[in-house]
Amino acid sequence: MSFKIEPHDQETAVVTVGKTLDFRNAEAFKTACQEHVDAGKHNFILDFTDTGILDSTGLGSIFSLYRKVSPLNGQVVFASISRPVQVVVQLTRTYKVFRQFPTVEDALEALQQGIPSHR
Amino acid sequence: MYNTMHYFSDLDTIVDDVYDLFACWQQQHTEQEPFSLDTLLTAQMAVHEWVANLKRHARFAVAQPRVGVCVSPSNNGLACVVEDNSVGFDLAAYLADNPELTDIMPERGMGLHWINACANDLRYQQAPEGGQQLAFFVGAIQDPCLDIQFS
Repeated sequence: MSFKIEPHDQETAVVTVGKTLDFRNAEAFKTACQEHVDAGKHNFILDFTDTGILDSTGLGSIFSLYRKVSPLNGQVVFASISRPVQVVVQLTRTYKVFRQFPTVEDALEALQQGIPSHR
Repeated sequence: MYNTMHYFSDLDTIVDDVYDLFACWQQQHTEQEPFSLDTLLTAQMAVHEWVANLKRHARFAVAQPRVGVCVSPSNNGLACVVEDNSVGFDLAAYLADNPELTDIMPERGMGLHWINACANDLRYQQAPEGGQQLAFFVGAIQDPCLDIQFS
């Protein structure tokens, strides 16, 4: 498990994804995110600064999180995307649903201003 | 080192071992290479998906699994070969039966489509010295690649 989830405020959590989000830790990621959704978080900022692997199962776990927070008018956004993750974003065209920000701070500011999601 | 088959036998560490191999190539990559860094990262992604598939699903008839990875610069891209001594499966039939991702934002079952989307000239066949061989070519990233349904 390389990720770390830290609450920022009542609605928002920042997820430092770490080196890997793949088939080995995707279930743990889903479980941990669910706990924060249950605790009232519905906006998640995924910080990909140090991420070298985001595989199909890892992306599936992010889709799962998106599915949980969308009915709550929540958002999942990407921040500080590493080059390996940028390749995944391009391949899968997930930029259509996950807004991207240069930094976590930029993402926090946008969420606090209530900038809507893509959809 | 490119053009060399790198062999791995510990399925518990193979994902990290392959990651380290590609990390070494990334660090050595320069603008003078005949392929881009994104091409290398795309090749890494495809190889990772295949190795992950081997770790999770492959059946090995022998006690000692053996997986080889070889990446070779070719025609402004990378020719990739992954060999293993598993019993194999019918990849062509799987892709024929599942030609596209039909679920909206699927949580699983994307891996083989992921490989198919980033690889050209994908071939899965008997390896020359026995076992299975996946061979493919990764060139410049095409957009769009993988047709995920978002709504």
